[in-house]
Amino acid sequence: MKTTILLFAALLIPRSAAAEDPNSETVFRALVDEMKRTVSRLEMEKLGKPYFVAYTAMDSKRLSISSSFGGIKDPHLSRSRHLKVELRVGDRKFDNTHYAGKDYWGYRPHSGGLVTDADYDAIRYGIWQITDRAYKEALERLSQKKAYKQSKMIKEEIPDLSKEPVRVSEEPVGEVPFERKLWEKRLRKLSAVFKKYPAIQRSYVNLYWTQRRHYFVDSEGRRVLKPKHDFELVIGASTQAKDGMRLSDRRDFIRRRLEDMPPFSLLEAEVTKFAEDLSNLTTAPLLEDDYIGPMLLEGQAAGEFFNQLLAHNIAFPREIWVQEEHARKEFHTGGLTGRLGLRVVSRFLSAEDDPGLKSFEGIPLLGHYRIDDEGVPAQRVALIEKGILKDLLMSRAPTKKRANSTGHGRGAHWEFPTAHISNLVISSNKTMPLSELKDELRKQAREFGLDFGVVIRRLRPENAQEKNELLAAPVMVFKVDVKTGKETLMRNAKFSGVTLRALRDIVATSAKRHVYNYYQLGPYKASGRGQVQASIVHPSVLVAEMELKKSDKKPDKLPYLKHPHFN
Amino acid sequence: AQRVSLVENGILKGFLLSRSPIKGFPKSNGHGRRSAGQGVVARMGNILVESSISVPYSKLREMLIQEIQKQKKPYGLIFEDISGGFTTTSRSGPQSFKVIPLLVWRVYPDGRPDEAVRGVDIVGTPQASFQKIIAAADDTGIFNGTCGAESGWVPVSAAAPSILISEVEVEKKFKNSEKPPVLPPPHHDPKERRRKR
Repeated sequence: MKTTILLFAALLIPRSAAAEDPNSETVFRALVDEMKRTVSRLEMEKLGKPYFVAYTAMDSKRLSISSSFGGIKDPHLSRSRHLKVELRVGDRKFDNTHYAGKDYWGYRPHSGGLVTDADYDAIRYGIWQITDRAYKEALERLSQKKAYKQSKMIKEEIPDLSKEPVRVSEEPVGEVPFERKLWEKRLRKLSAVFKKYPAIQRSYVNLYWTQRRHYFVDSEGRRVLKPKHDFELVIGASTQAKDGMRLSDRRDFIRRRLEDMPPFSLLEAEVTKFAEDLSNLTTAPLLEDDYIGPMLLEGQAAGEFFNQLLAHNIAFPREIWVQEEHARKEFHTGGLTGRLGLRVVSRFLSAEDDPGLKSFEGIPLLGHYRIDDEGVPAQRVALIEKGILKDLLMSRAPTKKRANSTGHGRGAHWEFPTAHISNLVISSNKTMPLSELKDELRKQAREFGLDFGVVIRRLRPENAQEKNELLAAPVMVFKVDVKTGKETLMRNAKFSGVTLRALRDIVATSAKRHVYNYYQLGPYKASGRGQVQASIVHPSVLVAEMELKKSDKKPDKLPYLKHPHFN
Repeated sequence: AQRVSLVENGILKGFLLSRSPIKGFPKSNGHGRRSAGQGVVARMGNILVESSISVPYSKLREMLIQEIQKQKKPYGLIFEDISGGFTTTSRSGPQSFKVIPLLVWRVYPDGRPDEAVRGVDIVGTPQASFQKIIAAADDTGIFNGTCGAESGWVPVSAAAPSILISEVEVEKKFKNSEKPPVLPPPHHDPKERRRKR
């Protein structure tokens, strides 16, 4: 009851930050007024009013600059206001959500642009249009979903929307002026690094600097104002090996705020390292024979290993129904979420997900937030203890085993919120310095009867996975001689036969842990859409047994003329 | 760019040409156009249609009513505004066009006032349609717009008088069954207007 009283006070009297900013105040007023009209009067032919409506308006200012070989390409500053409407008909127990039907690509909330001015009438006019479409589609979907449930004889009843306490929250939006000239200068300098590398055919350094303000209201009385900033610097390059084989790689630096970026000198060193690595790959020998044996995954490679195998499978616990069986794989349900109480990783590993953590050993964590995209306060979840899955990350979509949200309901602005990881922190009880881990790799490879073991230092991201792959191909793969420890870079390797068992085959980890800041993809397998900011804190890992095989990609002809800069 | 005489006294005399020659026309006349990133195609620039015989518009309307009576039709149509249209030009498709009118009037021969009609598209084939133009007015109108093809969109103009066509084929427009909005727009909702903004 207390919350309800607080809530009404908050709706009538706009609080500090919004009150100071007339634009925010106007947006909230338009959202709340149209939402009230929607829940009280929006009804077509006695088919029922919406029982729940949530509006998310996103104000976005974005600076994007591309650069290549020392020059700037299409710098662009844009501004927009966008509305997402989540509207539910039916009731908490059974509504129009979690059902995609045959509409795989259209399974997303209704959304559209709003005016960017602080114009109450014009904003409400836009909200009305999008809400009307959302309502009609919700009715259609609910009747299709009922028919689906009957035709598939589904008896089990899992509710569609959990009950959660109502909170009102405002965070400072902390916007700063864009330093466009400065970053153009820096990008020219960073992209010019490639002028020293004749082996690279294409290269770019791009900046995407976005400052967003999220306004969230729902018909249960939640109201949230929060920033969602994003500063992304992407280094990418592609080329061909001497035999014509295509090679490419990219590196992202993603932070919430500009001031969290590494110093410029470090960025410059990273570009140099990146260009060197890719150049070295062009002359690296091919993996000749398939490999089965121990594998050491270091740094980013271990981060992607945990992302693609663990994070992707402990997120998305709620199944989305689809009309046709073959489409089920387009909507991923976390492969480990049905294994509560079972061992999912090696016995000496534990993991928690803590959105409240801002940094780890001084490095900012991208997955930090206070309130999720459904207006639920973020909670720390002790996910895995001594290898056993103890809990699940939850949004407001209940599952068979859990009824309530843990404040992990997030999604890209164009998507339904769903349970994502935030800061997934992995800890280990069986650690050693990295050099000893490498010795251990050689020892285990020798026991396997092998002449060499394998170290992987970079993996391609999740969206580079090929069909039916659980783990995308490695980029930087090294043979390690069991006798001498000498490393040889190899190319043309991809994983084979990877299953979630690899997580239980981890035999030791490094003591040092890394921070992997990245975008976790949504559960939509085919499109890879719906990414959210996330972090994994993880050690490097030694896996007892993994397989590599030769890629079957065919090479392309080399460019006819030589690189003009080095001719 | 060059001025090209395309049709003289109803007879086809030339083509708009880019640097892709066709039989009998080995040179460009400067009509190779495209939007950025697309391939060049011979496109129109300013098309001017002139009539050697013309009448005032009021006379053209009288002629329309006479034609309705002559053909013993219940009514005729005046197309006042058009939103666009397209022509199929590929060899595999039918060489036909569709024009999408915005404002169409139904004209009765018995002096009843004209009625606005909606949901009408004009369809036909170019050569048969051109043969059926029976008169033109002296009121040249100008169209400025963009026209799309394999070359992407290019800015174009056309100038032509009102014309009387003895016979056109029309068909019903595609119609979706979407319902109008359930609630009135918030700004015009009588129950909302009393609220203080």
